[in-house]
Amino acid sequence: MLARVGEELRSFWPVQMFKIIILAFIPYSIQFAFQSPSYFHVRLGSMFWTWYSTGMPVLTDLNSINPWTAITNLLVVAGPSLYFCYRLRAMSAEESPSRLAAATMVVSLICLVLVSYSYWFVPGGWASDSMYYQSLQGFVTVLLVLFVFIPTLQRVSSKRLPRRLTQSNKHTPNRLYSRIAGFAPRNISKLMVLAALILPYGVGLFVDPNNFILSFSSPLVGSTSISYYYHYLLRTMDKPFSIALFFQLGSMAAGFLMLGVLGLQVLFAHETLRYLEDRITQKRVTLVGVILLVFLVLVSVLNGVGVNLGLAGGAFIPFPVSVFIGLWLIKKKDQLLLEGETELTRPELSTLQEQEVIIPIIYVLESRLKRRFRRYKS
Amino acid sequence: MNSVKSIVERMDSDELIRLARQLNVSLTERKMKRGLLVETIQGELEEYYREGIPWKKTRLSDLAIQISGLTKKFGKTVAVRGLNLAVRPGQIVGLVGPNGAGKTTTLRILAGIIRPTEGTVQVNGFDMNVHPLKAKQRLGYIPERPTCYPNLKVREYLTFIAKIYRVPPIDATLRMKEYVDLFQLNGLLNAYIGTLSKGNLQRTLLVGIFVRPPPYILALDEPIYGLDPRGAWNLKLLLKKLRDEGSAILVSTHILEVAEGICDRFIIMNEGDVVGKGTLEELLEQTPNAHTIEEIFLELTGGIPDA
Repeated sequence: MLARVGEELRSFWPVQMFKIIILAFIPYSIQFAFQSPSYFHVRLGSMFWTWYSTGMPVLTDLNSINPWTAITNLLVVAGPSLYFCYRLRAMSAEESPSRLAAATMVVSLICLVLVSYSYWFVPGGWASDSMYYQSLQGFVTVLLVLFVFIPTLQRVSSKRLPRRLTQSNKHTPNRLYSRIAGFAPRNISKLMVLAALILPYGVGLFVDPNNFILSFSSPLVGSTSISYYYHYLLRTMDKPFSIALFFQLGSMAAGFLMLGVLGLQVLFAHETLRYLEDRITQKRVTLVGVILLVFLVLVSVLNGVGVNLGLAGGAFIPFPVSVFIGLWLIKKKDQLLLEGETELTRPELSTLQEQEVIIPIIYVLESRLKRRFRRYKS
Repeated sequence: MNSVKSIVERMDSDELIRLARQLNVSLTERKMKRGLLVETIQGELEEYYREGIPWKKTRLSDLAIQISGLTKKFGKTVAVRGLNLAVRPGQIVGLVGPNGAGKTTTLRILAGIIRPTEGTVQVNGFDMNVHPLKAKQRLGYIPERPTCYPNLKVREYLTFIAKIYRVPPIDATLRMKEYVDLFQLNGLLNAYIGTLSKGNLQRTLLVGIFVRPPPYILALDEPIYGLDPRGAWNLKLLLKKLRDEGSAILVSTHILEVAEGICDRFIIMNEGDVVGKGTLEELLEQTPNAHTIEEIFLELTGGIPDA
């Protein structure tokens, strides 16, 4: 037992903790302000430090959150993803991690909400550093994408997609297609997810890198900022409550819109992969793509009339990169003919016989009941 | 019985559990070694087939396919004229001819898709016009341009076919596994039929036929066309095996190597008429200038062109 724990400590945990520490130091929250030719400032914020420049000497400092609080928050929000990684490693190739991944995402978001609102419960607590909370959301996003979403899609898709795509000889050779065909299929899932989660948010009238790092947690940006604002109002009462409410409701609606955008992006990436695996029809995946496109147009229009997506940067047009990538893959599927050996190829029979089969719980219960009933009758 | 046991050994966990349910095997532990589960199921199957495998006892009528005086006209065009043909159990007969010879029309009439203008078609002793359901029950037909329900998954289609042909669920599960493995459809069981390529659709339809118990009466229209070399090789081997087990097979093709490789007898058609029939040796006697099936074909369908 102790030896096993020692082995785990040596192999699994240090590597994961190292990754988490790196992620904790990457800046997620970035603010630019160009108020006049003579004054500008740039702020970068990670989980543990902020960087502040006004064109004068650069200031780097620990952020205003107590370091112990920051470490505790970090462990709370990273815990579910770490647990997922640990369980995924122990799973056999036949088990699907999808349910566990979904549960991890839900638990992570609940942890994020709890951490974001925790200052409410501290006497005299005050959300003094909104940059820290934005960084926290960015951190959870990147963590979920890297630790949960991509490994899950890789596991699920690599079972069915061939290891390598080979170009169909029915079509004239094309250098671009040959290159893409040589691209390992598991990378397609990464590409689709990254495109779905990051790229489409890149274009705004004001270039704001915050728009690049958006997330599952984005809908929470609106609601968390509501809490900051009410907190502020309660303390100062310097603005009419109704005006504040109007803006905050707009922010909340934007949060739900963002949830729709994100959900549809991820669904489209997932459906595209399923289409490449021949598991759904072209009609279905195209329909999801078109719905996504319509939704993106709707969001742009709403944004134009003032429903800000809870993001910095003002007017903001989501650029449908993942739709274009997906529709291109769908159109060119025949030219990128999927052939080759999949990872579903059977292992040796002798090793197969040693594997354990998990019998569905309902079946086990039925069998036990029947056995008892037979005994009772006899 | 050994073949049944080896099918069980190749099954994955889900398939084993499905079969265990069908056999009503009592499994009271949540986790179980695969080897033990396989052995338990094999034991139950031995009990299930204690009185022998039922389809091994089935026999076909002496004339599995009998076409007499068949003529089909489309307006003034005569597609088939006065065709007489018989296929007995244990025979593969090749219907050979150039494009437009009337092969597909013959097979469509045989399958009961279109009616003949004159003549009769009997399948396993049942007239297709009088007892179409009984005739179709034994017949397996693969059209030249395969079509199928696009919104069904491959697995759903195969299960559906097994149900409408009243194949007992245990037999259906075993046969499905055997032929899905043979035609390498494992990765496509959850794919929608509408997404399949022509070759994969053809394989699916073939498995749909073989889910039913043998012996078969098969009418295959260009069955090799569309299959990859491995699929074609497997199908040729399978057709020979089925013939040896007592099935009657009528294959239409214009690929002469295929016909030569698998057929026992040939019927050569040209513009709706039968221009030659018999075994390869008999046809060689009829056409003294020809030395191969290709030359026989050319001689009978317009003469061998000059070099």
